[in-house]
Formats: sequence, structure tokens, C-alpha cells
Amino acid sequence: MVTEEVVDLSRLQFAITALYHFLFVPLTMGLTFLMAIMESIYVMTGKQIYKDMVKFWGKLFAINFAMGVTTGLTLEFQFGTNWAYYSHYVGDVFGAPLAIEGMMAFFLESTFVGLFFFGWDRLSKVQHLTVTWLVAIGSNLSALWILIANAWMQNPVGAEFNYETMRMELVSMSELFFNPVAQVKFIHTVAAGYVTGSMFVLSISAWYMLKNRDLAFAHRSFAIAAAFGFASVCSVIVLGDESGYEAGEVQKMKLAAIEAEWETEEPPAAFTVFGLPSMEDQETHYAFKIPYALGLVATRSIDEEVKGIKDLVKENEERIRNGMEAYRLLQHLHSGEATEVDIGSFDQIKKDLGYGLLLKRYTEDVVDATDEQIRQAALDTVPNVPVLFWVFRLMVACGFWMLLVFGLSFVFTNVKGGIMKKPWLLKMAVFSLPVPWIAAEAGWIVAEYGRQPWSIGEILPTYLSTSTVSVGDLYFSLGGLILFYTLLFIVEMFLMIKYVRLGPSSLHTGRYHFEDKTAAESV
Amino acid sequence: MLDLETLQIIWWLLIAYMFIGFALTDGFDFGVGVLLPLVGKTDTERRVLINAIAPHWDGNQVWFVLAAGSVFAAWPPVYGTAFSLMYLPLMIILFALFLRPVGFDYRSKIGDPRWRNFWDWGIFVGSAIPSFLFGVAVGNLFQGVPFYFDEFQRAFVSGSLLDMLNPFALLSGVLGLSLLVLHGAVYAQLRTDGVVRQRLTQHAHRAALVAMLSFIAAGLWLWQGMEGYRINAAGMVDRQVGAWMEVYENWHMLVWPLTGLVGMVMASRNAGRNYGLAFIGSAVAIVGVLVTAAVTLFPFLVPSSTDLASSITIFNGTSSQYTLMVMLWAAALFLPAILLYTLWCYRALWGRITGKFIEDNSHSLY
Repeated sequence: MVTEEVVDLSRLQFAITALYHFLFVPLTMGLTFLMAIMESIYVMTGKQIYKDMVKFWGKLFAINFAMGVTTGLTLEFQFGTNWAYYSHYVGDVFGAPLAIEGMMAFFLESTFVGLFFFGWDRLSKVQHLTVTWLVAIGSNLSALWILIANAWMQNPVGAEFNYETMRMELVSMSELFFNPVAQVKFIHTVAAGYVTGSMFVLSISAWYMLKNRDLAFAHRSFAIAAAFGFASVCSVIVLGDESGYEAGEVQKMKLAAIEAEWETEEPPAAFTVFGLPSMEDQETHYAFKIPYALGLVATRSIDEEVKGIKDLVKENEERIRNGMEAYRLLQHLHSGEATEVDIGSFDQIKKDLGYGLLLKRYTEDVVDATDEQIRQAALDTVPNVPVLFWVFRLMVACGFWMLLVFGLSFVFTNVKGGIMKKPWLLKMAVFSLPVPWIAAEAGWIVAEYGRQPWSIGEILPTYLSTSTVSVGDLYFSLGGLILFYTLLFIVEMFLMIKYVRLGPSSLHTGRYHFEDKTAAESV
Repeated sequence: MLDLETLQIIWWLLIAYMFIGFALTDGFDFGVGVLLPLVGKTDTERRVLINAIAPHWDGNQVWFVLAAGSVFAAWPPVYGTAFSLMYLPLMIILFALFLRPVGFDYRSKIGDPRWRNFWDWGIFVGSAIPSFLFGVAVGNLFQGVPFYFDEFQRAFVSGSLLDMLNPFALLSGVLGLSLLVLHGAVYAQLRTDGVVRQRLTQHAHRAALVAMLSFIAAGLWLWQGMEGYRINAAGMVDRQVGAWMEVYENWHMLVWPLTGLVGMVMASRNAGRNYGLAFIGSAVAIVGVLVTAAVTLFPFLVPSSTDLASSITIFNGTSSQYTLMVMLWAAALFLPAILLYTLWCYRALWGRITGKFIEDNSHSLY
């Protein structure tokens, strides 16, 4: 039976598997592109060192890629195993981008990745370069379709509820594809991947330079990562701002929660930089605000208002009452005595059916909900404000920190004297290694925790979406996943560190540190 | 736009095609994975076997992801009910599958024999358990699975792992495992030489024999020993012993099980002699067995043993007409492309993996 415990465990499992998977995905997206750039330089200039760069970063990429493949499977299957009602309710819409992702992108990436590793002696230079680009394009297209699916969870466009089949059905593929949220998310996410790949290469190269080894190799890698990373971090930030604008349009509650804006303010609203939001008091203590900033970002105007949480809750209470009526009509439609008029009136209010379903948490029948239950359900539409408030600020701080690191690195690789004379900057780059991962995980927490209580925004509550599996089964799978993921993570880190230390000498070309102290060591 | 019923049949064919694609390609990866520690005695021999599938296992595994994704898109209720019904077996399959990518990629990155031996058995487990449980899952479909839908189309499932491991399902598991081992053995013979290749022959013979016996036994069981499901003249689902075999009253349909058997014989007879024919034989066997399973179940996808009316068929369990049509366009566009570039990849990397090749390229191979 479905209890709160089943719901909580299913959510926990999804969160763990998704966050864990996304430790590996951004690095794959970023490194494939960086390797394609390096190999392009190799093919154009014919310099062996660029080929060595592709092969060495490719070794680290392989260690990461195996984990990405491993953890991706769990994520896809989990929709069926743990979210059966979700699969039924929205599979007609949500399944399509996932299947197309497989046909168009995942196949491309996975088929050519084998050729990338094992085809060096079998293919011409240009053929191999093409393969590398196809891997990069495949991994990015993969992100496109996954984010189209995810964006639909945030902003479900192009679909209609069908009362006969009791599910959402796709009515417009182009609306699904051109979902504005998807466009913004795609660029924000892949650019974040490029930033991750760039920071990875930048930090490790900086470490080699600090250790005074493999200098030519490290310097060239550093320069490419600095330039590509700088361009990418700029697009992440610009597109992040664009996300804020989109959220102002379609996910007002999420935006209000991120900003801890409890009351609707006179436009343009102020932006709270810091403060201590409290769910109980419904206010933000010790708030430090910048006048006008939020209104400008979220509405791109000075006279549109940004709705506050309390007003949104009031609106949602209305929608829940509407939803109860929609639910009553739906039951009537199923009774077989419905007339055309009933169908018409159901169609008019079915957009609020999801709000009615929020009451399922409190009463099986929905239509008999008390005022207290309705108030409670309306309060449930507020996601956890303090968490969103702080995690969002953490992500933004990481973004600007990386802008600084990449900006300085980019500038100093291009001025006289160069990066080698700036050990403080090299150290800064080394210690920034974890920052893109913190930012990416924080970003997903804001996006998905901020979507609660919905699994599909305003359509299907998370509470209703689960399978009817037993608590025992859930503990088994959760325990197994945590155990496997922890062990695999230790193994992965061990190998990663081992191969980073070996550096390009792991290629056994005889040209690098640990092999020959004199060769290729001049900048 | 095509009408709904036509689309439903086309998608039944397409998804069958994808599962067959999975079994034909990733199937030999699983088979080689099972044979790895049994056939490879030295580290170099094991690396020969791993590198015979190294560049391709990842692309091959996408058939599995694609087939599952297409079930999600085309048969959403199947995706939800079948996967949550088989929750524990599926989780165990996933855990086992974790060991393969990591095993292939990580085993040769460290020289310690204990490390390498650990991952070899990891790959063995990661290949044997899924091959067996895929069979178990299909075996359970024939017996019907315990679930029902409420008025909101919410599936309520019951049943435990032990129920899933019933005798017929175990028999199907043996069939699945032996078919893939056969396929892996004859594939590896195409890509290896010397003593490894010789040792594979007896494994191919054994696997083919077990596959034949279990396939025939399963057929007899369905015919005489098990209540099958069917849609009766009134359009309702009912159960009856032998109902699964009614499709063979049209004797033309017997061509499918016969194809399976002929393929097994062909693979067994040619193993160690004519490697090309042996591989074709095992491929034919896989196609024959899977199509037999599909046409026997037709039009059922997931019959319900709790509530016959809740049974999911290809006619009540699909997505809407529009979604099926959009997806058909995508499939028409991409599936041929996938076939072409997959073939190109195999061609580019084709050749025998010898012990000398492994030792010469020790640092760049798996």
C-alpha cells in the first residue's frame, strides 16, 4: 500500500540516484567537447602533443564514462519500478523524448565511443576526428532530450488530460520540443557541463605546472580549458538569469521560494541577498535587500509585480476548491451517466484537477475535504523556502567564483610572462576543482526540490506518483544502491587519482615525466 | 495519420525488433562475460575475450535502453506495472549490470592479479544474472502476474521475489542463459584464435544442448501443463490449459519454434568448424525463440492473474494515436541510421584479437 513512508523512500532513492548520476554526466559532456577541440587542433597542426592530450584526457574520460553509463540505467528504469502511476499518467508524453533520446543521441554516443578508444590505428586522422565530434554531439543531444523531458515536468505544455484513459496525452510534439523552459535549461545545463570539463582540465594542468612537470602538455591543456571555460561560464550565468526570467513566467511559486518573497511587493520588487527565511513565521529575518533587483530580473520591467508566497497560497487554495469540483465531475464522467454538458464543464476546470489531487494526501475521496485539509494542501504548495534560498545562493556564488577563476586564467595565459609566473592563480585553479560539481548538484536541488509538491507541475502531485511497492523492497533497493554506489565511487576516485598522478606518462610514449626528464619540457 | 490499430501492431513489431536487436548484439556480450573466467585461464586469454567485445558492448547495451524507453513511450502501463511488479528481480539485474561497464573499463587499469580476478568474476556475475533473470521475467509473463487496476488506472501489485522464481520461470531463465552463452561462444570464436577458440567449442555444444532441451520442455509445459490466457469470442479474457498454444492451430506459425530449434542445431554442429555458419545459427536461434515467445503471448503483453480484465494487451495498453505516430516518424528516421553506423563501426574494428595483439597494445586496450 502507498504510505508516506513509501513516498519518502521513493523520493530519497530518486534524489540519490539522480544526484549521483550527475556527478559523471557534466564531466562527460565537457570533456568530449574539449577532446574534440584538442583533436581538431591536432588534425590542423599535425603536432603530436595534441594527440597525446586527447589520449590522456580520454583515459580520465573513460574512467568517468563507465560510471555515467552504469548510473544512467538506474535512472531510466526507476520511472517504471518506483513511479508506476507517474509512468501511466504521463508516459504518453514523457516517454517520447526519452525514447527519441535513445534513438537519436545515446546510440550515437555509445556506438562511436568504442571507435574513439579503439579506432586510433584503424581510422584516418579525419575519420577519427569525425568520430570524436560525433561522440561529443551525441552526448550533448542526449542532454537535449533529457532536458526536454525534465522541462515538461516543470512546465507541462503541449498535452491534455483525457478522462477516458485517465492520463495526460500529447497533443503537440512541437510545443513539447519548443518548451521555453527546455530551451533555457538545455543551454544552461550543457554549458555547465563545459564548465565542469574545463575546470577539470584546468585544475589538473595547474597542478602539473605547480609540480613543475609535463609543462608543455599542461600549459597547452590549461590554455584551451581557460578559453573554453571562460566562454562557457559566461553562458551559464547569462542563461541562469534567463532561467530566473522563465521561472517568473511559469513557476511563480518556485521563484518566490528561492527569493523568500513572502509578501507581494510594490513593483519592482527588492532582491533579498541574505537573510534567514522561516517557514513557521512565514517571513525572512535579518533580510538584507537590494531595491528593485528582483523585479528587474524576473519580469524585465519596472511595473510588473512579482507575486509573494502568501498571495500564491491564497490563489492555490482557490484552485484546490476548483480541483475538488473537477474531481467530482471526473467521478461523474466515469459513472457512465454523464452528458455532453458535464464533459464541457469538466473540460473548463480540468486544468485544476491536479490541485484537487493534492488533497489525496489527506482524504481518499477528495470531494469531502474539510476547510482545514484544503488550507493544509494549499500550504503544501510552498516548497522548502530556507533550503531553496540557501542552495540557490550557493550555486550562484560558485558560478561567480568560477567566472573569476576562468577570467583570470584566460587573461594571464594571453599576457606576457604568462600563467607560469602566477603560482597563486595556479593554486586557486587547483582548489577550485570541486566547485563546478557543487554548483551543478545545487542547481538540480533548486530545480527539483523546488518543483515539490509536484512531480508534474500543477498536474500530478509527487505523493500520488509512486508504485505500490512494499517498504521492505524499497529498503532493499535503497540499501543496495547506496552500498554499490559508495564502493564504486571509492574505486573510481582511486583510479582517477592514480591516473592523474601518472599523468601523460600513462600513455607510455616515452616523452613524459617519470619517463624522460628532458623531453618536451619547454614552454 | 495511420489508424490506431495499425499503429499498435507496428509498435508491437518495432519493440519486438528492439528486444531482438538487444539479444542479438548485447546477447553475445553477456555470453562472453559468462564464459570469461571459465574459458580464459591466463590474464592474456581473458583480455583477448574482453577485447573481442570491448569496442561494442556499450553501443550494444543501448538496445536495452532503447527497448525500455520505447516501452515507456509506446506502452506506458506496461512500463509502470511490469517494472514495479518485478521490482526485486529488476533491481538485482541493475545491480548486476553495474559490474559490467566498470569491470570492462577498470580491470586492466591495475596490474594486481587479485584486482583483475575480482573484476573477471564481477563481469561473470554481471552477465550471468541478467541473462538468467531476463528469461525468468518472460517466463512470468506466461503465467500471468498479480496486479489489478483501480478506477483511476492505478496499478496495485502483489507477489514476491519467491513467487517470481517458480519452476516454469526458472526453466525460462535456463533457456535465456544457455542461448546467450551459446551466442557468446560462437561470436568469440569469430574474433579469437588458438587455444581460446578451441576451448569455446565444447561450451557452445553444451549450451546448445541445454537450450534445445529447455526450449522443448517449455513448449510441452505450455501445451499440457499450464493455464494460458486468451481473448474469447465475447471479447473477454479467460484462462484455460493450453490456451497459449491456440495460435499454432494455424500450423504455419510452427515455423517460429522450428526456426529456433534449427538455429540451435546449426550453431552446435558448426561450432569449432565453420565459425560464420555457427554464428548465423545462434542468431537464427535467438530470433526464433524470441519471436515464438512474442507470437505465443500475442496480443497479451502483461496478463493479470488477479483480475483477468486488468490484463494489458497491445490494444488496451498503448499510448495515444498521436504519440505512436510521432514516435513512428522518429523510428523511421533513426533506426536505419543506427543500423548503418553500427555496421560501419563493426567493419572498421573487425579482426581477430590475438594474444600478441594484446601484449603489443597492453596500455591502450581493456
